Amino acid sequence: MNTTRPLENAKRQRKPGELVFTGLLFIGSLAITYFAFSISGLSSTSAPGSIPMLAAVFLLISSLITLVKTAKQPKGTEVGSFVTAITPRVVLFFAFITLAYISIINQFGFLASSLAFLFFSILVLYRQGFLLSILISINVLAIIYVVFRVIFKVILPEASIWQ
Amino acid sequence: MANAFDYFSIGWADPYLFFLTALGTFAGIYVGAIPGLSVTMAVSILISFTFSWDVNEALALMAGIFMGGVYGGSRTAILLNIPGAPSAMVTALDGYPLAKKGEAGQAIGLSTVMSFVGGLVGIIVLAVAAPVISEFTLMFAPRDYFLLAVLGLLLVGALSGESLAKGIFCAALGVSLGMIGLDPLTAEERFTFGSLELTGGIPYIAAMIGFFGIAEVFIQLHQIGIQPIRQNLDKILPSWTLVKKYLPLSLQTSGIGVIIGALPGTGGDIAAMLAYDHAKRVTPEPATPFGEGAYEGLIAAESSNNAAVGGAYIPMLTLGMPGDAVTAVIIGALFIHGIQPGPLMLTETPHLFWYTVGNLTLANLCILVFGLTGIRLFSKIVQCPKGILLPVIIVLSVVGTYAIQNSVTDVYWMFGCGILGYFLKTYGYQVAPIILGIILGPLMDVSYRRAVISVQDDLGDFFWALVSNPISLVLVVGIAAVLINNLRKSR
Repeated sequence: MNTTRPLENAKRQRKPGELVFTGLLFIGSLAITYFAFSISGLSSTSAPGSIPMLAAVFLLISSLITLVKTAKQPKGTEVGSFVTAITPRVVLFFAFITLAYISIINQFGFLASSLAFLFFSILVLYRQGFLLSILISINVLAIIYVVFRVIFKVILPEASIWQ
Repeated sequence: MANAFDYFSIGWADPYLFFLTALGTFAGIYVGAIPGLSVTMAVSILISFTFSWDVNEALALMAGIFMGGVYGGSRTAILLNIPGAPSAMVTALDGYPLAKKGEAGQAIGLSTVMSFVGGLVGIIVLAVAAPVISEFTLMFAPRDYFLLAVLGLLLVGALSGESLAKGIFCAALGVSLGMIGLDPLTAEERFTFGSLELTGGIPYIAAMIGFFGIAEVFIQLHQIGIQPIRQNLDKILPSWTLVKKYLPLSLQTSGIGVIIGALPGTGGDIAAMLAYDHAKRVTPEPATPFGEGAYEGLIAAESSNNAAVGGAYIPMLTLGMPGDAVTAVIIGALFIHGIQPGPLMLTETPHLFWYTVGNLTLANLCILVFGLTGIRLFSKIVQCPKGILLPVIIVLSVVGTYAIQNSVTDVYWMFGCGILGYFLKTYGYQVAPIILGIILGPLMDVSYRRAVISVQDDLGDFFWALVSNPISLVLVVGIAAVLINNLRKSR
């Protein structure tokens, strides 16, 4: 049963950075295999390392097959470089700001961190000005806080910086 | 029989109990829709409130939340490609493509009706065949759970998208991630690298939110300037012709859902996987290919995961064994109220059994009502500008992940899985097999080792047992069939 359209059966072109990524996955699989083996080696069939070893073997074989297939694919010519196609500025910005948000959430608490994150993200992504961004951020945060903290009584991080 | 009907109708006739079931279902739908706010968590939180309640009131609320929560997970799966619950992962495969075509309303309408059908089948089987089903599930040995886990993992062929090798890689990656932490049998550390944070493993909810939610957000950033798709909400209620056309498939996959749900330790996520694969087999020429908005894929997933709810109640009520995490919490609630579920329940406290069946039926009906009436509001979410929606999804994901164990470490895991998921999705890998691997890996590990230990580590005896026992043999044949099919498709 072939449920793919004819166009998808044509040779797929390699995306920017794809060969490197699949290569990294293969190296990662080698590492996982090594660490799986170091759990209990091949000491017994019911050892703690038996299923991790089995999974690692499948990981290794499948990543190698994918690496070989990817290397054989022609490089795409119309999609731009790795930076423009895979990690454009907006993706890098959002990754950075999300990581920053997570890293300050314990120190400054959920409310302050989330307000800052929402404000800067909406300001950059929505591009409708300072006032609208702050209004939207406050309203959204208020709704989230009421739903999660008040109604569902979910514990949210408190600011530790003042303690 | 007259008594059974009297007990069945208690929840319907009493206004307060009726209200509690409806409230529970309504809350469950919206809790289930939010990734990270799991049904298990909602029921666990509510347990503490219901200590002082009458047991009937507590059961009414919990049944509603359970039913509603399983269904609610499909909402965000369809609208945003972010499953609200693991059981909705498969729903996203065809539900989200439909939303991308502007057919979110129809997708939700169809999933609602088929969830109702699935839920009804699960309840009927619970009412009619509970003792028989529970006897059957008791025959499952550890090796059979191992085979079931292997079968579930092999079904990644159905989820692999463009490449079987990529699908197997993701499933194996998921199994490896699921092994992080302490070995449940020997407490030996695996993949912890001496870190205390890693001894607890990676919560699969955090991984799911990361791989689905965060990764999808980053992918959507590439389309930040594109206008949101206008959803067609003219046809929400599916026509009777459409329902009749897909009813046989819904009933078949509901049957799968009940059986899988009845197995202790398995739930709607595995049921949906098996049902999806079944749908692919019995629909050789779908109008729309699977994975691109096939109604059959959506129906199979939703019917089965709601049928699994009724299935999960079977071992809980008849054997005192939880069918899944939610029923484990509900068993705790029953004990607190002085009730012991088990083999004698049907004879000593039949009123409780039939009352529960009545609650579930009412909750199922509420799904139909609340599910169909809230679609327009939910569809507005998709039409919200991405510049606002995407940051909000991040905040909700952080909240949902933090709520698991009140740990920022889990949030970091979520972010890491999100970044990895972004690159995997970009390069043509499907992330659903990873979550499947994380869920099934521990089951496979413990079951396999218990099975092998029971034959004193003799692999010969282990393999002989696989073919000499009827249930094991059926599962082995199923695995072989799936394997052959996967290899044939990959050529």
